[in-house]
Amino acid sequence: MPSYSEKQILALAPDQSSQKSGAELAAARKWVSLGNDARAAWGECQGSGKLPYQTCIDLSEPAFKCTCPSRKFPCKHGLGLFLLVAKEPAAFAQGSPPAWVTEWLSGRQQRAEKKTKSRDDAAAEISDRAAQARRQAERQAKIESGLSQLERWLQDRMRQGLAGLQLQSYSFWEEVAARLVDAQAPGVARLIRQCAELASGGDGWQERLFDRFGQIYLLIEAFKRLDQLSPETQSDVRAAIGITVSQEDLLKEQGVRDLWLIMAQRVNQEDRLKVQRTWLRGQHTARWALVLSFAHGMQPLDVSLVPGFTLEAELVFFPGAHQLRALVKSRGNSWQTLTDIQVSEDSEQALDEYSAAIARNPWLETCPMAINQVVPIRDKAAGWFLQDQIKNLIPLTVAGNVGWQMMAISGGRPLSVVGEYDGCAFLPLSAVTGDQYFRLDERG
Amino acid sequence: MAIKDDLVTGALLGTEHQALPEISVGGQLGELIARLSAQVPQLSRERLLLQLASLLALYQRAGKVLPVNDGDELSICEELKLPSVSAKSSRHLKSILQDNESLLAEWLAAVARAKKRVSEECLPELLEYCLKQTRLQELVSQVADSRGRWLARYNPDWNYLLARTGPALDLDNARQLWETGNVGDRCRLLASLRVTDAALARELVMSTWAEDPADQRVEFLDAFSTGLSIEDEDFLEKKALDDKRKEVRQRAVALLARIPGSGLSERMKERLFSCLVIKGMFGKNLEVSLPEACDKSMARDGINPKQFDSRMGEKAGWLCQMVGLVNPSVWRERFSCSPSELIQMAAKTEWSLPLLIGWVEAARLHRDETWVSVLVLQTDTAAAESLVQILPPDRREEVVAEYLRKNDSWQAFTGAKYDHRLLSMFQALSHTWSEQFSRLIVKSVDQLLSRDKQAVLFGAVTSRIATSLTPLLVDEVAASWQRFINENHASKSLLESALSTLSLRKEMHDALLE
Repeated sequence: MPSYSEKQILALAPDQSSQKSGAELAAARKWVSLGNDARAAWGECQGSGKLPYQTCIDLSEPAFKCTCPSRKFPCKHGLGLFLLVAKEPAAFAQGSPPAWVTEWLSGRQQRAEKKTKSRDDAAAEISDRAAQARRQAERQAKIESGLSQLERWLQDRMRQGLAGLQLQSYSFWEEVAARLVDAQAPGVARLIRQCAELASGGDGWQERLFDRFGQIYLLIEAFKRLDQLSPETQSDVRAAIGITVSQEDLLKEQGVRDLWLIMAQRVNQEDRLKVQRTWLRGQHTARWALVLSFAHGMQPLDVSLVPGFTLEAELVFFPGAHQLRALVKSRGNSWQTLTDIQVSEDSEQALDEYSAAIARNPWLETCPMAINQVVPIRDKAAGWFLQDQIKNLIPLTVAGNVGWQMMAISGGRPLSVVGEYDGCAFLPLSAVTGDQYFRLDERG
Repeated sequence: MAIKDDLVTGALLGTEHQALPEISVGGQLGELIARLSAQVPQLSRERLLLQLASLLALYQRAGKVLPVNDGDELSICEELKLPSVSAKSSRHLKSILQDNESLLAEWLAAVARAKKRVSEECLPELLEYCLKQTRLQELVSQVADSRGRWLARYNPDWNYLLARTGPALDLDNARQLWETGNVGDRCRLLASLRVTDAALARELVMSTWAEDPADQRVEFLDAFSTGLSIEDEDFLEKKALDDKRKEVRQRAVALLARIPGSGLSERMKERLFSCLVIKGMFGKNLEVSLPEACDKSMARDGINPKQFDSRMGEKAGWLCQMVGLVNPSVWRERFSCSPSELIQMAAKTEWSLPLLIGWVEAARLHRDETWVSVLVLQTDTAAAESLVQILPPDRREEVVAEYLRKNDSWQAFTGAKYDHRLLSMFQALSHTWSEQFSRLIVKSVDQLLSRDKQAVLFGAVTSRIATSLTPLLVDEVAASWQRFINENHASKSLLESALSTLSLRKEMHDALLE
């Protein structure tokens, strides 16, 4: 049975009040009956109705079912039951599920099978291939015209000079970005939108903006001669522009089976969208994979990948010259604690791997990096670094008290650190020392 | 990178204002740049600049050279001595720091009792949180182990851990710290020295007394409560009592009054003995004569001649202040009568109010437990809450229990009967209650709720029960309160929220014992 932490479970709650009422229901005395087996947990909770509500969780996903009339999902009963599983597993009677649970579980199974089947049918039904080709050609034309406008805009900037850009307001960049969204190039729109922050970010903004314009220009040039590029690089260019790949089609392909170590995870807030990035590394294939999960507003993020654990799974990678992003195609239930990680011996090895990666895909924004035997140190003037075995200092980006957390964990002794590197600084996300895995959390 | 700096400068000014800089660089990079530049003039200068930007940005990212540490190496923290708390307990700590701060002191004390330490990854957040929680710092230093002290060497904000647990300072180090440290360092040094070597502490204070600003003098005198003895008299009487700053003088008066046999306490006793006399052969009577004047010597000894109190006249005010300074235990010897007899006699005089207020002050200043209990239980002084706080936890419980029995004030918990003193004393019971006292309270609350289904407890009462009741009784309480909750008692939601805090506390303690 996968072990979920209370924090992860609470993250599933649709809002604050659900969190609170869920936590209040996480007490054995609130439940008339409680039971579980390897796959599911269930319980009956006396509410204001005549009959107790029947609540059930499919722990493998997790998925929820409850007979209460609440419109919130998951409801407080589901959350309370889930929290109770994490807190007091002893309160649950082990055994085979009652009929109302098995009914729901088998119903789910059937629906899942049907869905895969209808997916196949749907794919087969694309009868109008001509219409599809027409749509693609239209989009191609839109993007081309959007990018050629942007190219002229970039040239104007170079002619007039970057000096004035530092003082430009957010809406100046937003306007350029909006035109790119209209041109169906959301990836480029994002690169432009981020310029607002680069330009107002203080010291060194000129160079950061110059680099960014170079990066965008490279993308424009690459798109112009897309048909001269290798199929992998074509995919990278499309991904950078923001042309999505059908995940359904992708899931039909053969994936990579391995024991995946769930090395690190972080959540970014982009406006109302939460983006969760989970970094995995194959035990045998020694390759990295990035699994993204998105949630709008109060929607819960996927919690099925728990950092610090390992997972038997088949992953399908998105196409590209340096494949990182992947989807989980199928997964087993083996959950072991992650204690030992195979990673770069020092910063030189890690940076070599990074250089090789951006040589394959120059639009990579960040690369996963894990380095053994590093000691976190702080320089009063220059900030935080990791010092490796050959005494090189890797500059860090640290949020909150993450630097101190690493230092507290290390006690001056070397540890392994996993994080993301963007060509300039390293963002530490988790640390492993001896047999302990630590998630470095901004909040502590 | 020099070429890049030139190009960035070029881009900053713009190609219409300045020609592109000459670029000369060898190697593969030079060849690439030469190939790109050769496309001019077909390629506009702007496009060339953009191409160079993309080339150089990648070149730089791919070829990053890291600085090498040629400075000091980090020290290595000595071995941790205590076993760490479990992952579950660490989760409890995180949730306490985020939204249950009132449970922190209890949790830390339980960790210290279990002889465990806080897990290392939680230390930064805990140390940062306790920066301002001075009363928790002692506990934190016990459970932070060597890792906390090691961290504090690198983060000066956290050096409150060092002063408490560091090795005993030798004389020279103590002197040096005293002369060069900041106020916080000096106060911590003073606090620990007053325990181990009160004379040295006094000597240090005297060595810089003339130069220290008045604010700091006030803080230094506060440390003298610890290890206070007749040896401190000379300094207090000759230096501090005549200080220019009123706060310094007031503290000196309070300290001197607490030193048995000090000149000030003897003088004050003499003055008061001439004001209070017991007469009568059979029924004893207290005769009070007010002081005629407040002379210079009285004023120097801490009696404020102009203190205004609307409840009494000027002379009664002087009497009140004098009573407040004299150790209340002297009255038993002087008049051979108990505190309650004396209070009863005072009640028959016209000056009972100034005497009572004075005795409350005296009980507080001299921390006299007998007087505190008598004043709380037998008078209606409004200062009950601050008085019970003087008592150690077990005595505190006894006094409140006795008060409840005597006044039958249970209904004050629901507001059916108004008793502000009880409610405020109840708030002062912030320690973890004994099993006996916990049972008493639970039983009484049960009775109150059973008798009246509409009775609504005060939120302050249920939250005090939630945070102070012994965790041993949680299951019993849960079982008994579940009845009220099931029958939709008017206090239902209060009981539910108190129960959830109680079960969190039980879980917290259980996790530490695993």
